[in-house]
Parts: sequence; structure tokens; C-alpha cells
Amino acid sequence: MTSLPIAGANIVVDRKWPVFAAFVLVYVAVSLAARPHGTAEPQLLPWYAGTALSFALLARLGAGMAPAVIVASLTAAIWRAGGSATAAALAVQTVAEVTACLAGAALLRSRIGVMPSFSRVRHVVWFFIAVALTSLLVAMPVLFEAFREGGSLRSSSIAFARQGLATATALLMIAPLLIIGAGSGQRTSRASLVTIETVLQAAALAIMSWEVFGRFVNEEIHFFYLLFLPLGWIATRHGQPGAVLALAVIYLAPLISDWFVPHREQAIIELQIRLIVLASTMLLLGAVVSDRRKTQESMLERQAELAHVQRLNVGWEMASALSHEINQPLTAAMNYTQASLRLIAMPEPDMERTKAAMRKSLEQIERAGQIVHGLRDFMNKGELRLALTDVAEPVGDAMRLVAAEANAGGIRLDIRDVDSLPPVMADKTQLVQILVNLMRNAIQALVAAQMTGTVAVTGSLIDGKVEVAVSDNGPGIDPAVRTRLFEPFITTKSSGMGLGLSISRSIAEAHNGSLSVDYSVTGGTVFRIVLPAAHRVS
Amino acid sequence: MLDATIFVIDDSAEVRDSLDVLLGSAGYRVRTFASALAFLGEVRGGWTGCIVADVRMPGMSGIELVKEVVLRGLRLPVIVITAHADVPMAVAALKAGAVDFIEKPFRDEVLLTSLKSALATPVDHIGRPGGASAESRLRTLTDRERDVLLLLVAGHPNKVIGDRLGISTRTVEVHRAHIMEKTGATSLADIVRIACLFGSDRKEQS
Repeated sequence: MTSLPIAGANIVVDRKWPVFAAFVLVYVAVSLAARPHGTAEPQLLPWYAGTALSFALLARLGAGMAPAVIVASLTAAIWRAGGSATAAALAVQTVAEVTACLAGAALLRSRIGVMPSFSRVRHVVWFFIAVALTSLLVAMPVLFEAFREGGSLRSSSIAFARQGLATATALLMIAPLLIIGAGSGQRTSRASLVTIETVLQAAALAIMSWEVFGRFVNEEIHFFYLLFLPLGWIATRHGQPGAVLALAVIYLAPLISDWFVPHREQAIIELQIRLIVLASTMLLLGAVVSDRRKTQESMLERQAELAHVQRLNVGWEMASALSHEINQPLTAAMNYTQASLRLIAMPEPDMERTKAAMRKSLEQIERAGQIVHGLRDFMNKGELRLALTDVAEPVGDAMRLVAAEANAGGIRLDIRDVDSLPPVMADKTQLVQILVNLMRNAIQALVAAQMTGTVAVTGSLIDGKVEVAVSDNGPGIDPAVRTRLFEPFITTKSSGMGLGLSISRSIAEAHNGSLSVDYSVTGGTVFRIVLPAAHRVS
Repeated sequence: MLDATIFVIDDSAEVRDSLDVLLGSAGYRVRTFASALAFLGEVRGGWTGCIVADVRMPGMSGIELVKEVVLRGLRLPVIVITAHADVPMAVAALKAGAVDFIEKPFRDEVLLTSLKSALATPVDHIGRPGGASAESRLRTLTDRERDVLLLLVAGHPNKVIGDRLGISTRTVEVHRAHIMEKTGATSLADIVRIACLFGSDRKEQS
């Protein structure tokens, strides 16, 4: 996310002119797409989104883009009016729009920054205030014009209100999409947006829009409330990105239907008031949903950090035993190498034997390297990285890490049936962590009880879920701690933080899985990690 | 001499195999065993040669094996090898009757020299540490140096030894260097071995 403001700056510096030209083109097209209403000059455009475009441009890229707004606004106004517009009227209209958008955008930028995601209620509230400010300023000339032409206070206020409502509606429904849509990093992560649910949501949105703005637009205004259903659904499921996209889509419906069935003046006001309520509600709902998601994400990050701390702790605990484990292949490698030297030094060197010894030496050095790498990977901070993982891999890594302690205690490690399991979507290091925690617990329990037992890691596929069971034939767990086994800081060991099982369970749950424990009647303990099986895309 | 058989006992397959290759290249006959119990199950009274055994093994440790070999009156010297060369373990191994204590990994000359001298040891002397040269070397130590030596063998770090004897850590280091020099020790295992002899020497005295 930190690189995004720089990316925004690049747009201004490197791609200013293409953005400038594209903006003017789109702006003119949008202003021509709105159907004019009324007889007053200039005519009211109730579904005119140009102001929203200007506002979004200035909010995203700053006041530096004001010339583009001036050019676009003037071009569109001249185009619409043909030759009939006076220079004064054009100037007033353009100045009003540019000033209003500059003021609103500056307020927004100063309060919530240049890259608002609208994922906080506070952001949305400031956006409302900026919208209100912009709408008031845009409508000001209409008020003055109405007075100047001798209109009553009432009729002038109505003209003012109509202009303000039209502007506010467009701002609320179009501007958020343009502001967060341009350069939002969140959306790209969801590659598979086309799911059955999103198709249904789009269909519901289309049907409701047709009912409200197509069939019943001038008669049955109360049908409007049907729109809350699909929008609420979308905002709840997709958060703010979904809400702002759906709002922009809905805005197209009256824009189009106005050309086929010209809207009545009264219907327009009622529709716009309801649309403002709808947009405000949905933006707030979207913000709440997105905010909650963010909180969840940051909780996951905290959990990953805590998991790392526990890995560091375990890593240090294992370091001494692992140094012994590294010593074995090093000893073997040294022996093989020295044997090779002796074999070569003989009067008639046996090259075949020498070669075999060198090859074995190499293997042993590789093994020592693997142990070092295994420990390094285990203790690395590493960001949470989900990938298709064959369970056999983390099981093998975990076994290499705990083998030293098992050997020292005379405990046998037994790995069964993990090769044929389907892959799981998981962070490998965290899976290794669960396994290391469980295996070390079992080994230490056996050693403490002075038993020469076996720790078995057994894979199985149950109801489409991958289960990895870590079992021992040890003395079992003290009944006093059984009920609180997975709580943090519960430990029966003299050393250790008592975080292993609690963190292991939260890791399993973060992977949409579970970690449970069973006690066998003969005293042994079985911990079961269950993870949903993933499917390899071939 | 090279007719001798070396019995390699180590739970780690790669160490076992590499010793097989190394000792084979040096001209020895080698037999390997994955555990002390496997060896004891097969060994016969008439076997000759030398045992090279790891200390940390599941089932029965190398030190227990040394005791068992002495107990059974087998005429096989035992060289103990370990990756965990801590003082108490070395003391235990040598007191149990091992002829040498070697830290893994090791240069081949160290093991081969040790094997050579073990195989040359008269069978009657097996399991009994000591020798004239060691005794004479120990006699050259001052009383203070002997105190330091005893505390070293008990596994205390220099600082603790200094506190115990009321001398500075620096002085302990000096004594330590003198002990190494006078006894010709080059490693921790050497010091321990010598101290062991000294320990048994003292026991006889008391």
C-alpha cells in the first residue's frame, strides 16, 4: 500500500496529458448522455454526472488537474448550448463547478488523505460533508439566476434544491467508485470475482433497477425500496468496493430510462431523495463491513507475528539438539572424505571406492545443509503465504527438526501414509510449526516419563478432509490441565511459554481447519489436525 | 596388526557406514552394529579387536556398554566417540573403563592413533586407566593446579573455579594453560582423561 501514493504522483507527472484528454472526452460524453429537463436556461440536467467526474478527478489527483475540469466543463457547456449561450453564463457555470469541486476535493483530501478507501465510517462521513459543500456551491448560481430573473423565494429555492439534489445524487453514487476504483490495490487480489453469488447479485440488481426505473418510474415510487435488498446483499458480502460499484451501476438506470420514458419533475425529486438515502446507507454499511474485514486481517497479522515469536522460542530451544544433529552428517562426511584421501594415496588407487565415498560425503554435507536450512526457514519471519502444499513436505521438515531431540531421548519417530494425501491450501512454515509443537510435546512427555516410546505421524483422508494425527504411547496428559489444554500460558513443562498448543490451534483455525485431542484408554494421546483438502488445478 | 577387527557401534547409520569406509580404507576389518544391545547379543568371549562406540544411543548408552564389556570380562578395549563432549560424560566414560574419549567430528589420525595404541595395549590392562607416564606427568603439577584440575573436571566454568578458590578468573586461565602445557593435553578430552587418572590416583591415596 505504501507504494500507491507514489503511483498516484506518477499519474500526474508522466501521464498527465492522456488523463487530461480522456477526462475531457468522457466528461463531454457524460454531459450529453443526460437528458435536459425544463425550459429555464440553462436547462436542468437531473442525471448529469459531470460534476461527480470533476470532483473525483480533483480528489484523486489534486488541484493540479483543475485546468482539465475547466476545459471539459466549458467544452461541454458550449456543445450543449450551441450558439445561444452568452459568455457570461458559460463563465459563471464553469467557475461555479470548478470552485465547488476544488473546495469539496480539498476538504476530502485534507481530512482523509489522497488515497481514501472509504473503508472507515469516518471517511464516509467526511465524504458526505464534502458532497454537501460541493452540491451547495454548484447550486448557488442557480439561486442567483432565479432571483435575478424575478422568481419568488419559493420558486428560486426549488430551482436551487433541484440542482443541489441532482449534484449530490451523482456525487454520492459515481464519485466513490472513481476515487477508490482508480488504483485500488484490493480488487486485484480477488481474481475470481465471477462466482454464482456475484452473478445472482448482478441479476437481482438488474431486475430491481428495471422495476424501479423502467416500469414504474413515474407511478409507483414506493417500489424503490426493493433496491435496498440487492444492494444490502452486495455491500454485506463485498464491503465498500462492492457497494460503490453497485451504486454506480444503479445510477445508469435512471440515466437511460429518462430517454425512453421522460421522468416527471416530481418523480425526479422523489427518486433523487431516495437515491441519496440509499447511497448514504450503503456507503456506511460498506464502510462498516470493510472496516470489520480490515480488523480481521490485522488480527491475522498479529496472530502471524505471535506465531513467529513462538517459532523463535522453539527454535532456540531446539538449537542445541540440532547442533548435535548437524554433527552426525558432518562426522560422516569427514570420515568419507578422509577415507577417499587414503584410497587415492594407495599405490594402486581404487577409483570406484573413492568415487562412492565422495558421493556419500556429498550426501552427508547436503543433509547437514538441509538441517541448517530447515531451522532457518522455521525461524524466519516470513509473511503468511498460502500455497498448495503436500502434507508430506511439512511433515518431513518437522521430522528433521525434532529428530535430534527424539534421538537423544531414544524416541522412535514413525511417519505413515502422508504421501498419498491431496494437497492443502496452507502456509507451510505454520504447518511445520504445528507439527513441531505437537511432536516435541509428545517426545518430551515420553522422555519425562522415562519411556522409550514411539511418536507417530499418520495421514488420512476423512470425508474429503486431510487429517494428520500426531500420536504417542506416552503417559497421557494430566487430567487437571485437560480442560484448559488449548488456553495460552497453560503448561506442565518447567521451561517453555505454554503457547504451543494455543498457537497451533489458532493456526489450524486460520486455515479453516481444526486441532483436537483424544485420549486413548491405554494412556496415549492423539492430536488431530484437520484441514480442508484443496484441488490442484491442472 | 591390521588383522584386527573393529566393532563400530553407532545408532546413526551414516556415521556407522562412514566409519566402515574409513577404517576399511585404513586396512581394518570392520563390523558394524546399530545398538549396544545388538552387539552384546552377538559377541563371543574369544573375540579380539577394538570397539568404537557412540555415547548417546537409544536402549543402552555407550558408557553402559563399557561397563558391561568390563563386567563380562571381554578382551576388547572400547573407544568412546560423541558429539556431546561435556566433562561429566567424558569422566563417566573413562572411569567406566573406556580407553579413549574422542569428540565428533574428528581427524582420522586421532582415531587411528587411538586404535593403534588400544590394540597394542596388553589385554590385562584393558579397563584399567593409568600408566607410568601419566602418573609422572601429574606429579609435576602444583597443588593449586591440581585443585583447578579437579574443579575443571567437575564441569565448572572458569569463573566458578575462581570464586571457589578465591582467585581471579584470569589466574584460573593461567593455571589452566600450565596444566595443558605440563601434561601435554591438547583438548578438553585430554584434560579430562588426565584428570580421571589423577582422580583415581587420589582415591588410592585416601
